Amino acid sequence: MKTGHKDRTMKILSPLRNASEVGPLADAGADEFYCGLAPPGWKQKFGAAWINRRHPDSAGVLNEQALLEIIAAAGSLPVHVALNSPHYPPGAVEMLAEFGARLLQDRGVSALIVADMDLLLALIDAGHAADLHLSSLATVSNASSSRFFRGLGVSRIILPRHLTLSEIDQCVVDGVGFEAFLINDGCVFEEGLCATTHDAGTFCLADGDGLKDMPPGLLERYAFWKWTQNNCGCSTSRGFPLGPCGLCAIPGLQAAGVRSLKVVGREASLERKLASVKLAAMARDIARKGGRAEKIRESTIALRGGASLCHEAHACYYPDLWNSRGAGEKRVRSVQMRVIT
Amino acid sequence: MEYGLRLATLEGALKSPGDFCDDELWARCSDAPLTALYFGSEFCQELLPGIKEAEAFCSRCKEHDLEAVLLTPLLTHKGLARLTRLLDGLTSKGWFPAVVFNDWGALELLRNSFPCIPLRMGRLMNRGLRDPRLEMRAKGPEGENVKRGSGIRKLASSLGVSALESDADLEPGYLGAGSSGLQRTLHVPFTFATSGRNCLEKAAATSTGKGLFTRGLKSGCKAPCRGICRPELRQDTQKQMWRAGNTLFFKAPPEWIYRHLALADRVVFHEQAMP
Repeated sequence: MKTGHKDRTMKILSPLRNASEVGPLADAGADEFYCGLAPPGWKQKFGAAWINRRHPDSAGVLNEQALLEIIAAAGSLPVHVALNSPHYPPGAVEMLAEFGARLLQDRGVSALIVADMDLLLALIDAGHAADLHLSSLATVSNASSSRFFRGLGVSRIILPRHLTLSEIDQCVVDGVGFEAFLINDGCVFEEGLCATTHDAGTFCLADGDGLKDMPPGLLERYAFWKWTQNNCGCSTSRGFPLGPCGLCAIPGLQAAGVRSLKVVGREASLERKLASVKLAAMARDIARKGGRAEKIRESTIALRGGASLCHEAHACYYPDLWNSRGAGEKRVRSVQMRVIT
Repeated sequence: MEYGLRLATLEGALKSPGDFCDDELWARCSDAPLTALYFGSEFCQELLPGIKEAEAFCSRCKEHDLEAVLLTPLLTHKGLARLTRLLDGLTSKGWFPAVVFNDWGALELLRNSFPCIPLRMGRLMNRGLRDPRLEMRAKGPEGENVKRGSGIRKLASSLGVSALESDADLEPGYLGAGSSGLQRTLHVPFTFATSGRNCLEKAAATSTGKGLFTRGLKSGCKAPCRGICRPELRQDTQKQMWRAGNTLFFKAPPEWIYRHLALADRVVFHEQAMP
């Protein structure tokens, strides 16, 4: 058994933008938070360059003072800051390494989420390895890669979106924490291997439109799938998000050794964040009591609506759970048995 | 300077690198020898060659006194096992091709299990922007940001990597000034824009309702994309796109390539866009 499996606590990681969101999200079930923040002087020096994977004006925390208010409101709950752009303009890595170190040492930030290898290595050289979460953009997809980054000293690896449950099970190793995507905001391509920027518009949404000679209906199905990755452009009549979802995979993720579950959407309204965290907490609590995927799925549909999303597996983060009727449940049960024994 | 080729097929005829690019680019390339042939895949583990294919390729390289270079992609556990089998098979028969890794787990595998194999860090390790909708805004050749990538180059050197590879991106400089001791390799003329596992080619070859997109992540793939390279036009860029397997490519504009040429020790010419 992997020793990391002994502590089976599953944390819900919630996005936020300001201190007023802390209380409601914590009450809804959030155990830890993450946000984005630009260093002072960033815009003057680097213009519109992004510091993380969201636009600073629409998804970031206003300034350091606002971050301090978030940390004070969060109390004992950890707050992580995302500095996870895959590339930075000249001079930015130096500025961000200094800024990141200050956030960790003087501001009470629990961890930095980092993707760019130059920034990661600069922070490791400065002695902050244990406070680094490796972004999903680093695309850790196998245990050997997990061991490589464990060797660099990072404390958590955030797994990329497009891994199956069994692949995740194969990625998890002892001695480092693992986080996986749970709900909202899919990617058409592998985010870590996408060399385009949303700053110029979402490249993937028009993907395939100019293709010819494809089988009839394929591009329509592709367009539909892309729409589901973009949260179907709406929410349910009950106010819950209708995007990619891995809620019923929580027992499988837990058995694999994942201990943090990411709710995506820093730029979303508090209402959407709350709805997402409520769904996540409900699913996590069912899993805690031994509930399996079917039970979580039924409860999710009952609370959220949008039954066809589940029944047809349109937007599953971990579709191998449902590839054939009963097969997913069987696999999850077998992993659980392995952990118990 | 030296040159490499990436042929469209393993058996393809050896040509001059100049046959794989336009005259203007070739005119800027100095007279230099062809030293390497590339094979394998940088973007999809389903496209890794079998042992017999790889052996034949290595044999062909030896015959022409060229270095055989095996390209490898991002790998899952299954892909890593496949690569292990491939390298076990090759090394047991005395073949030690250089390996381009695009996955840190592959590097660990190579260092621990195949220490005799020369290591080359692949272009997917350069996460620089290559958005076909954007124009180059970075400073001119005298001001390339060769500090970019300095951390990863230092790490690579310390781990025994011998070369650093990239295609042309929007901010030349990742290949560095040459002081890290790594051979700097540039792939031309195709630059990748994006790649992923939800593959349209795989979906196109699958019967309706099975193996499509989300639900296809777990299903197997028989690599129906081999040899296929589809032209694709988009509304948001004038650049001609090419879809090859699970990856979108475009021909890097001349300025992108010329700016990188000054930083390269080896240039690898691709016959067509290939995943």
